[in-house]
Amino acid sequence: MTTFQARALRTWLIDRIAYYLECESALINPTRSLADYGLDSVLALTLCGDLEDRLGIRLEPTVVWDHPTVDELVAHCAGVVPADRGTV
Amino acid sequence: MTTAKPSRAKELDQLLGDPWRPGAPLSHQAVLRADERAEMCAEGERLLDDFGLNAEFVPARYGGRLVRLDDLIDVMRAVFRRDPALGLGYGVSSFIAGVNVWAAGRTEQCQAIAGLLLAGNRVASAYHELAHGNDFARVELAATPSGPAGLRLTGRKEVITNAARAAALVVLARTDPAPGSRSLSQLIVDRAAAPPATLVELPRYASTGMRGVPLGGLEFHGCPVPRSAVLGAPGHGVEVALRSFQVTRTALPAMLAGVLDTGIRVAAGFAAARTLYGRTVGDLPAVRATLVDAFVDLLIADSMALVTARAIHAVPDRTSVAASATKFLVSRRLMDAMDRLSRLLGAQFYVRTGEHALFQKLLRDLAPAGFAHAARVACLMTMLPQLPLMARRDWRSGGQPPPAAVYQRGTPLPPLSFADLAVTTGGRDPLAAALAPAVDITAGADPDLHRLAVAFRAELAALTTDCAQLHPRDLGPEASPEALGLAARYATVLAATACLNVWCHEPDDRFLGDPAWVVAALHRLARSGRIAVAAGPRPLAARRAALYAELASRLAGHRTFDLADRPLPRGDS
Repeated sequence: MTTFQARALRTWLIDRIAYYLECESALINPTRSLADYGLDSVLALTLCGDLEDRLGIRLEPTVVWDHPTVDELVAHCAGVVPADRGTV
Repeated sequence: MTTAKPSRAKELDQLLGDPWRPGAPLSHQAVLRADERAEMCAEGERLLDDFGLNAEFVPARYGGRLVRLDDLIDVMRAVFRRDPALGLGYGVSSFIAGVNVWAAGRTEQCQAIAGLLLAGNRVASAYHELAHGNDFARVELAATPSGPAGLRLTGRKEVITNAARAAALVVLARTDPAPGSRSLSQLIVDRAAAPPATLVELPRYASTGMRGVPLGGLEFHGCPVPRSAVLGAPGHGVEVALRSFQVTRTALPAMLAGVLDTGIRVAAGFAAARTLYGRTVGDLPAVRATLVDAFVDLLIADSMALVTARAIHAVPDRTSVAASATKFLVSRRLMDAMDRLSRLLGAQFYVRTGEHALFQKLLRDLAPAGFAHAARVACLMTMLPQLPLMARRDWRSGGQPPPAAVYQRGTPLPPLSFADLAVTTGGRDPLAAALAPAVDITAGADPDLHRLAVAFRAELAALTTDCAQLHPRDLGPEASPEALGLAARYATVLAATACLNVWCHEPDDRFLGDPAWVVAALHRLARSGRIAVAAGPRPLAARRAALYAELASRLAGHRTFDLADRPLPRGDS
């Protein structure tokens, strides 16, 4: 994944989390644990499906538990998605 | 891969004897006497010791007899048909604790727990704290570091089966104060190693049903445990529970189906013996209908539970939603059927003495099915977040049905793989994918059945649209009743799919291969799920006579009312 692609993924992810939490995207701090925002543990599992659909990859269902901030999630996905993947 | 040895369930049935015979090894009379004293039935516990019931909970690789979940369910039904308190208090709580150990423990932990169980001890599963109910994320019992290799437990666990007499406990404790899903761990507490002052028993909780089961609590005052007591990776307690509970949420209601089996026997026996309006109560059409409804509900419950149990063998990474659906639906079917039978019994369900006194005990003992080991609504909440992804993926595309063996009783299945249990299905839903092919088979078989099956296919299509659009708020604890209703509707579709596929895959079975029961089953599910079925002849009324004849013949022939249609011990045999 290129830096540009990682940045796009980060923006998309923040919007997606704001959608689940029903708040403004600007309120999501990418370095803060999503659990601090009250994201339900089971609901966090569903974010994984969203990420899989967008990236066309398979992830562990607990990926959000193990990488609980936006920045950690993006870094993890960037490491998983092949660099030559055209779009993310 | 599988065992073709003489059935353990039959062996246990023979050992326990005909419960209606007063001198039987485990008679209903003895069970009722123990219940009146709010004690475990001592004869029953001794007999289960002799049988070595604990070995049924221990995987074969650790020296036990647990190979197949459906076989375990069968064995436990023999217990639950006689005394649910014995089922829970002797065994099931050890089974719940054990599954978590088999799913996450290191080899030596598994061996240690297996050793305790095989030696006849109990292991308690201590997850519950009264203040937090099913909200595991809020668990307070703290496991804080103490020295380089130790932890200290501080806090309490409440309403725990066998808390006072268990040799070991599997507890869910907070290993990290931060919120989130990696802050809790499960760990094994060895009662013998705990300094008495640090592990204090709370008074026993008196209860309405399961009166003999020692429900207790424990207070931990800095109780020391080694760090090596943690099951799996530290912080993975919730994950281990979510993975393991699909086994127990499926197996427990499946075992409880034995309660309804006896409930039907009591009610049908009462109806046959009592004379009103110049005929026996059992000759009244409305009474026959009530009995048939209960019989069909038992077949629905058994179909759904056995299909999910067998699916856990065949597709263990795709059963997390089905297991919660099974707990939700099966428990409700069983309780509702028993409630209706209680009205049939009139005053006889209320009195605690006499020939039919067993019924009031069964009714009270069954009630925890609705709230214990996950309340029914908590099951819906576990399902909800996964429904949108399943709708977008497998429901929309059709998905891949599971292997046929899932629906064929007695056929080999892959071994139970605790390691493959997954916290989500990743949008896959093989059990729902089996609906469409079954609907096709009904087309040439029976017009009533086809009409009903088509209605369920339409219901799944409607759910696909509704679930794909679920509002995010409706996926969490603030879900609306309407959203929870979608999860409940899905459970109904899954139950209908299980019944249809049992029918499809048992063409040679005299009873299960005939459409009568499955027409009745789908009719009842459609009615309770408010599913519109195209107009036609009244399917249930037309099948009732045949189903009543089956029920009456099983009653007279001392056979179970579930799918197994198993002979029961009678007289001195």
